Amino acid sequence: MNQAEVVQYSNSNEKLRAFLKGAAAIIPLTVAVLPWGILTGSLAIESGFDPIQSQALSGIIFAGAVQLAIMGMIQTGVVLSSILISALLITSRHFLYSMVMRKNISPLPLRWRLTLGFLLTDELFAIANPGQLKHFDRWYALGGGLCFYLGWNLATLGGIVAGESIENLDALGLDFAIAATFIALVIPTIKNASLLVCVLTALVTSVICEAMHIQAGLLISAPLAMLAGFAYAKVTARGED
Amino acid sequence: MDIWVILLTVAALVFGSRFLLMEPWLPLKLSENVQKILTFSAPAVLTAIAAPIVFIRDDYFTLTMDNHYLIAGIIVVILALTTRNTLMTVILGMLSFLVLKHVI
Repeated sequence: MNQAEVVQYSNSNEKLRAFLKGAAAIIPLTVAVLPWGILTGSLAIESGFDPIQSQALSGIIFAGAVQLAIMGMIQTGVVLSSILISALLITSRHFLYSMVMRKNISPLPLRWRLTLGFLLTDELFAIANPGQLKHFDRWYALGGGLCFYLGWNLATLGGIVAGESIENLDALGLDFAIAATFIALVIPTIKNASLLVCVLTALVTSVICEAMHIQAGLLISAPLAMLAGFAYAKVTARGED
Repeated sequence: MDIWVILLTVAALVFGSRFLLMEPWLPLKLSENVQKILTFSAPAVLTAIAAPIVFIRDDYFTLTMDNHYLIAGIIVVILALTTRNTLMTVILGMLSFLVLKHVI
């Protein structure tokens, strides 16, 4: 392993400094997700979760898109296997992140692997991946991860409190908020034709499944869309050769 | 179905996806094709969740002007393309949905 790339500290002052540096690096990303955290908290209440369960969504799952998808699916009464496969599909990008972080994190002791693994969000990956951080620093990653965790959970708490005190949340159109949130997340990621093929396939097939009352529609439309995008990318790449 | 069972199972799954592949005892390496397919996962799933909310009203495919979800959805797409700011897009998109629903 590349021991040379792992930063070692002898005194705790330096650890604290690295920890705070990591926290500072993730602050802008934390601020950007605060409204989402509030929305997630109030949506959880709206979806019928009690306050403790709503907080636990952020506290133990700690993955915004997965949390929103669960709420949507529990509302429409989907079976557990569908929820799990959907969650697996949404969370599958983390497999890629952990593949990338593997060379830095796998040499660490178990308690570090467990902690940093739990905290490995899009945002932590964004500040601590090898492209951003030439010399991986576990304290830096821990500072960033914990800061983000704290921000996300406080925002969720705010949303839970607001969700309980605002009387007619339904009139606020929070079901549309899920759609709006996902559209706003997806549109900027459509950077090439194969992603467009993927998104359009998902759109058409999911609407057809829903209109035909197919319960596990997501399990049909999402894999079809992934394969369609991949197939298009393959075919066009071959054409360019 | 017990909500806690769902919560804990999903939590274990998400944690596994973040943790497992960093384990030193695991020799696993995803093939290039699998990695490529996985890059499509987020847009595929998010679209497949959002599209029925926008297009289906009362069990029917509804492509009319009085489907507020559809009109506001189109506005969100335009906002996302023009502002390139996720937060702004959602806030303005929600506002336009509320205006359509309660004012018009």
